[in-house]
Amino acid sequence: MAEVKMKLLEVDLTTETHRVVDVTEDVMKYLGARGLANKLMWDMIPQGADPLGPDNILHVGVGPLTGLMGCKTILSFKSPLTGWAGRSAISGYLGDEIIRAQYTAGILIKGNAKKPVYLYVRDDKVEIRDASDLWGKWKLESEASIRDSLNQETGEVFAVLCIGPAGENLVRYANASTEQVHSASKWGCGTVMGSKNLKAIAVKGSKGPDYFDHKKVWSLFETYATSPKTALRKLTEGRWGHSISPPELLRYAAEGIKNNHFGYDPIVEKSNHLEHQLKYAAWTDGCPGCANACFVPFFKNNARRAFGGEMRHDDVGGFNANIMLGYDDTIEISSLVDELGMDSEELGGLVAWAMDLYEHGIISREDLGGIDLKWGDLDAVLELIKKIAYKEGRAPAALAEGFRRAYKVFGEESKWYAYEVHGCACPTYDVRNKKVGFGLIFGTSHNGARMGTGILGMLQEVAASCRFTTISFAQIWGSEEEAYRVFLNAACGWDYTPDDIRDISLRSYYFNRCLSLREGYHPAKDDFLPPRAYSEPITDKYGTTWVWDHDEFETAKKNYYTDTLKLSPGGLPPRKELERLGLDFVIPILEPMDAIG
Amino acid sequence: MPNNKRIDNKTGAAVKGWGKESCPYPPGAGFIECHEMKCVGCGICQMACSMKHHGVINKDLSRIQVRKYLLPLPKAVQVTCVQCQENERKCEQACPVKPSAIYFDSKTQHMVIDEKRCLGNKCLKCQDACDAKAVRSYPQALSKPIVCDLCDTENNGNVDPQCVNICPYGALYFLSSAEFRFAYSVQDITRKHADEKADLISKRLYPLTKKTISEPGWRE
Repeated sequence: MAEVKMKLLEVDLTTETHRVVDVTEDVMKYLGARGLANKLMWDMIPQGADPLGPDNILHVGVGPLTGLMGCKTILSFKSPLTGWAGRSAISGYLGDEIIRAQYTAGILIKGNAKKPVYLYVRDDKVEIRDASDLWGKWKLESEASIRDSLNQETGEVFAVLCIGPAGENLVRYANASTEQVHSASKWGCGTVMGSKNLKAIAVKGSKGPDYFDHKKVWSLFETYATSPKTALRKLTEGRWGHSISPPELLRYAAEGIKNNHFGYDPIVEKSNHLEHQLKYAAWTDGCPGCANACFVPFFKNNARRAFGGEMRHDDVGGFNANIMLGYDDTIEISSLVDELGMDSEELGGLVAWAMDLYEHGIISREDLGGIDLKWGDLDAVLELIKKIAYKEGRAPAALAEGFRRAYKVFGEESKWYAYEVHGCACPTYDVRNKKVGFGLIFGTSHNGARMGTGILGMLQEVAASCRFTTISFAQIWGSEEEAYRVFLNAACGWDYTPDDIRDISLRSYYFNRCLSLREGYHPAKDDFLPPRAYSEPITDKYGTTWVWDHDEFETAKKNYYTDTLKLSPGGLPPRKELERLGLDFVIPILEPMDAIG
Repeated sequence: MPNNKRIDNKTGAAVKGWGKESCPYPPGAGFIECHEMKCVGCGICQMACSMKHHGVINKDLSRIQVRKYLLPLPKAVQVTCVQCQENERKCEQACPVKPSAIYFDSKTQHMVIDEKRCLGNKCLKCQDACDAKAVRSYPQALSKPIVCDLCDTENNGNVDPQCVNICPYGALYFLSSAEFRFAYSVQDITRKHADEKADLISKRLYPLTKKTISEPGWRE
């Protein structure tokens, strides 16, 4: 059994060169995906660099367990939306192909290409290919044509991650996606690809994963795949996928209703996941190495058009009742947003905001390019979304820049209607709801208000595994940490103790927070909820009312910093912990910025 | 300790797996049948196959294959040898070696490749001849092609297909002539290339040609 080497494929688009770097030591310390990406970003991105400039990097990250515990690919970059550390996670078989090409530490993309290109990776063969003919094409067409041409050329099925027109036009929350239903959406991953003139990344690996002890890995994996725990979980996941959550959350004041003004409205009863499934669900689909399979794509066909995609929480959360449409009406929006390539949650919040501003006369019909943007008008919304992707007209162009930049265009009075934290829309998991809402998670995030930012999911982020699959593993092995430990030791031949695993998770969390702190984030100036969270109560269907009191939130936040996030009461990483975890090199840089606890 | 014990009610002993093991596969002709609509594309069958035959986890070293299509929704379709009947065995007929190096062993009732006589990767006429492309080759590590032997690696008739045992979605099963209600089996009908199957599945979505599938008509 040979020692496992963690190889990183480094591609420079400016010079059109590539090389393979051995980063085993860094991976042992930080693990892969987001853990390794922290180190790469800290070293390679100059402080205060332009996220859309050649200095930004894009790390397409996988970890030693990608393809074993679900299959995630974590893309890390400096976010064009917030200017802080950004990351997008994507399912599908992209990560599996990277692992099978034995780039166990992922692919790092540097520099900017002069003309539109796509990256071709087939095992050791790496090419930067011309993509001029694909530039401007919508996402599904781009992906299908790359897949088709590569299939004809090699006979193999490639995993293709590509961007749509929104990414090309540098809409600040553009996404990249693969296989129609999987998207890397958060914080502008597609925008970074667009700024690099990188239309797509196509990967096919055929070497097989490089595990230290295949027999041991297989015996562990077999335990998972044939466990009754997995079998039970599979039944619900396979039937509903994750389209079950939005209609449920709507009843508990956890999803935005009419730009988050209300906690309940009869519109939420218009349709639900059951109706959706019986009418439109096509089949169940999953990711490599996952016995749960939680994707249930839908397909709707009418005389004029066909729509396909997924109705997960992140796909429709900001829309449906937030713009006064039923759950099923969102099908057409979801499909269009996928095709143009934007973060649906961000866009949903912005469209609802624009509707609110239009109702209150802060933006006019002329601003919107002639769209009569009334609540619940599906055609108007579709029209607006297309205009945003192409930045046509005063208001759509401003909306394409996100909340904080749009304030400058729409004026001070627009701020009251915005429902955002850190400049990121937060229409879902309403921050006022203290039971299922994400007030504290969003309010203390150093990346921007999104899921997957805290310490809780950090292990999944650094091992590039899926948080839904991990539930089964945790049930079988007792805890997540233990499952990660036995799998990592078998796959890499290392000797991690439970403490090592906890430290890796903590180290990656602190390091990521330090990155954001270096780039201008500071809890004292940024960690607040929108004004409406303190002054506009919402009541759910069953009569529970939610709202924050200022002092109550400040106290809760302080406790959350110290108890859950293991930070100082001010929300800063403590010096002692940084020194203990081998992150002392950040102290000289952050100390003058008053960012060490 | 992993908490995955399934206890046998009668003996009280721990049982491993789904329970398929307690019903041994019947002797006689049979093959692995794929249920394309149940397949979710996890590829665990491929891992089991390569582990059984080569002792490593490598999906490309597997006799069973899962191909992912974009129809435009993602759909996985399996490809495996259906142990064709005599007149249908194109691989056997195409083999330039006489008697054929790839042949159906009538004693053990599955396909076998005689590695000593097979001409190897430079020939691969059997692979070209197979409609389903179920004969596989992996030049990086193997000099000879591989084909599904129902996990009877010793060739003594004890079939125990690992992919069927592990498939978490029950998308693979061992269709045996002993259990099937007809004396004959149906493999000649199911022997289709995965591309062809995917085309058929796409008909569920909307009746467009393969070319226009990538354009769902948004811009009309």
